[in-house]
Amino acid sequence: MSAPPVCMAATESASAAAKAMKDRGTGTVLVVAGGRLDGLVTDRDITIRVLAENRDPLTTRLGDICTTDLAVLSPDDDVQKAIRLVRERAVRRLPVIADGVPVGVVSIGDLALDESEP
Amino acid sequence: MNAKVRDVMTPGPIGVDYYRSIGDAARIMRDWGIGAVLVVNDQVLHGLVTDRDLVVRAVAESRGPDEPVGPLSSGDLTAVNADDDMAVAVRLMREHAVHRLPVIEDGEVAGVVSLGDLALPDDPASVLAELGQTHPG
Repeated sequence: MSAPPVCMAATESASAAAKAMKDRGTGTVLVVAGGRLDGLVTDRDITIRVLAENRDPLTTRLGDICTTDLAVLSPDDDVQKAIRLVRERAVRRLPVIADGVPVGVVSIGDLALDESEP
Repeated sequence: MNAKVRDVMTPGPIGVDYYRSIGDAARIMRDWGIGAVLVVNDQVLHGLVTDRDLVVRAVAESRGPDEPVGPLSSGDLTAVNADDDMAVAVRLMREHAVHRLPVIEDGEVAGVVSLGDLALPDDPASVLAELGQTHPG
């Protein structure tokens, strides 16, 4: 997984999340409230839910565009579980939660490019 | 991993004109369910622009959705042949740190292959299937 995850509040703007994605070299921002995971916003979400909808990135809040019904992993889950969730839920990024607190993100890129040796 | 690039690529790539707007490119990605479009200038392939490019090169830089998409695209494209093994595509993605490659067949762009294509749920030859050593049923 990639750690630590980039976490932002639901009241932050899509524009701020885009800047964070650029500066931190990630495609995922976790939306948190009081240290707990509330949702997830990806670079694609900003394209589809902000740019394509002609919304203003400066005033669109992450809370309005994030995905909230999340599949998550714990640090002790094995890679097979990550792969199964990626398939079943058709997602590319899985937050990793330890004791209710987000500690990382596993992406499809982590699974396919970093660990498999053809 | 014997799957060929042609078996998993998305055929018939969508091309947009260099001067189409960033907003239009985003809507094309949404409507077609794709993460990248080819940018064409004067009928010549100029580059490729991804959903992430729109975010880190436009939204993060305060460029408006009415600006042309062309300048956001990555030129100097690495491509893969339709007849290449997927292993070749995976290696190129690693070496160049990209998630998508244009696919060339008979000298023309025939499709785009993405990292996500490697993980198609029903593709028993996918990289993730091999990695997970899982078997359907």
